[in-house]
Amino acid sequence: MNGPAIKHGDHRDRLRSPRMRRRRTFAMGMAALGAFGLVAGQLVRFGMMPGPSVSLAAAKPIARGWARPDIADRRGRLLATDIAAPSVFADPALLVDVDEAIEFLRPIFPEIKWREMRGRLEDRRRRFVWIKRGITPKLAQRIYNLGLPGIAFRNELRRVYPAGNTTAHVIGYTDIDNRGRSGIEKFIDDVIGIDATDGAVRSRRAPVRLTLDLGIQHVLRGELAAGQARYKAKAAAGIVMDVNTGAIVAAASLPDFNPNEADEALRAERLDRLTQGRYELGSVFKALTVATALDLRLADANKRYDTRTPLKAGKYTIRDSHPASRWLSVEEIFVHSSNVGAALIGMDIGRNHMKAYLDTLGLTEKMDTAMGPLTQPKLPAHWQDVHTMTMSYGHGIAVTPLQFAAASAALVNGGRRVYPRFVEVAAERPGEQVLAGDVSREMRRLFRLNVTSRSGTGRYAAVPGYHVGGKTGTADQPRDARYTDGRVISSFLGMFPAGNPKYLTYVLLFEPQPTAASNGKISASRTAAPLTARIIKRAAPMLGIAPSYPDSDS
Amino acid sequence: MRRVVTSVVWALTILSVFALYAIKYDTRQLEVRVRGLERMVDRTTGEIAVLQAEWGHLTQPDRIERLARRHLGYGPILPDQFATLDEVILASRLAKQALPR
Repeated sequence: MNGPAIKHGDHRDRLRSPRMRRRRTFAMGMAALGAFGLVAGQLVRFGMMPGPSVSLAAAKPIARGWARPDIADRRGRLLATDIAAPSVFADPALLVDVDEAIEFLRPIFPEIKWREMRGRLEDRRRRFVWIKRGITPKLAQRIYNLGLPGIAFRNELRRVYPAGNTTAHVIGYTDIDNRGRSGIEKFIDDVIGIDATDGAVRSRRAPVRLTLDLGIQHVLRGELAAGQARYKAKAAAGIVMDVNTGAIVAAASLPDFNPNEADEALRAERLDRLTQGRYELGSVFKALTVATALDLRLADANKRYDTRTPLKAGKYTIRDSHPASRWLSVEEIFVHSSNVGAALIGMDIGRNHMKAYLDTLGLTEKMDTAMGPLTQPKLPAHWQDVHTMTMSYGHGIAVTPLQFAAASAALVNGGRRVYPRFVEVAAERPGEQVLAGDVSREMRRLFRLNVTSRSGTGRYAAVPGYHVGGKTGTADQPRDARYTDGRVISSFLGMFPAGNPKYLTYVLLFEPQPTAASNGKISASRTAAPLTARIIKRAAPMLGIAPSYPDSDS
Repeated sequence: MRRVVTSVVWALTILSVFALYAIKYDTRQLEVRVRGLERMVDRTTGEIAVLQAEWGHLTQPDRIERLARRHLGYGPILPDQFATLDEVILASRLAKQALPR
């Protein structure tokens, strides 16, 4: 017999051995653990997912509003803000009785054209008809209490202007959807940014800080209004500007409007004359002419010109209102405001230099501000010698008052150009030097002389303690290229304190009439100059400038 | 021994599932509360805005000037109403000298 036969049960026995059994159990246990682990892992994953967030999904936004940042003055006083105001609408599909609804709503809103509204309300296919937007919460409560089915409310943001008329032109206004239409409001739309909102959620953006000071603005506007009435002028405008930085502390133009009721703003007479009106400003331009001549070293204050006879230039004759019977020095030409003298100085300067200086002072190109672009200056199309002469005393060139005021700042601030601005900036950018420092000092002296001199045209602009200096301008206004109808713009360019000016004022009266207050005159000397004095008298203490005596300075 | 381990593991699994879902629902409740608070903040911010607009309107210079003139008889400050500290001290000294002894 051979060895033991192969037992077929060996494999199965092997597999049944206790060790294999243990190994099987272990493997099954691990598999089970793995499966459970997978399930547990999935559970943890699901547990860590963020819960479903409630999101309002409107298929089409019904009424999209815009949230705007606040506007504040330089001290943080509120000038414009959004508040949530209920707006009432109707759902014609849910309106049970249109007649009843109209009967109840007509006395509350008499200004609505109910015939049109009825047509809209009776159209049952419409689901949304505005009745009135931006009403007071009290009124909304009253309507709610009527219990009319189909009438509901939505909160919308509405712009309110706590300062009312005072800052009207600068800030501008918004339309019913809270979009800016003019002024700083438009600047916010275009530059700062507004945010779409489906309800009445206010903007989270920081308030826009303006350079305006509401207190000074109030003084300026109040005095302009009083002056407009006193001198029976058609309109008035004024600006107070920091002479070193170009920051505009106050800017007003009358007539203006109440931005809380913006429909009035569309009428033409609510034009902002400081930025949109373009005028020949007249003799105030003599300051630029004299400064140019001084800077070119063509003349000093004592150089004399023959101003005895009127000047013929082409078909025009240039004459003085009070001609002198002798030669006048540059100083005298300035103080007595001689047109002939200015024209002669202009001829010395010549066309090329005059254009160059107008360029560097910023009077030939379009100027942009936060209030929007200013109306572009108008210069002669074909500039000839006669134009150089007339431009020397402010005719033949038309600019906006703001642009002119900004250019004049360089005359008294040491000779640096300033860029006027309405919005505060983090860091100042000093302008380029356009005139020599000693020219600026001389101009300050001449401006001051104009006011202290007994026959100076600016003598009524004097304010005790404040060393006011300045220049008058009584500009005939052309109609159809003729200057015959006696309408003038009387303006006064002022600055104080003359030794080291901090602020510049430019005040204009449009078409003043002879009155007792002006001694029967319409010249700037008797209208815009004393008006400037009133403004400076009230505004200077508020600007932190204490009066300093003695008044007569060296 | 094996049975004990298995039971313990089972127990832990079930407990951890419960704990997990308890935490998840607590978190959801907190989120609801947070959203409620955010809505309240928005509403209150809106109310504050209305009050600030009211304040701005009540303190606008036009109105204050009108009220000051009418009820207090005030007018604008004029330059000769200013004095420096030195001037005040000098004035009071002069006044003392002028008093009869």
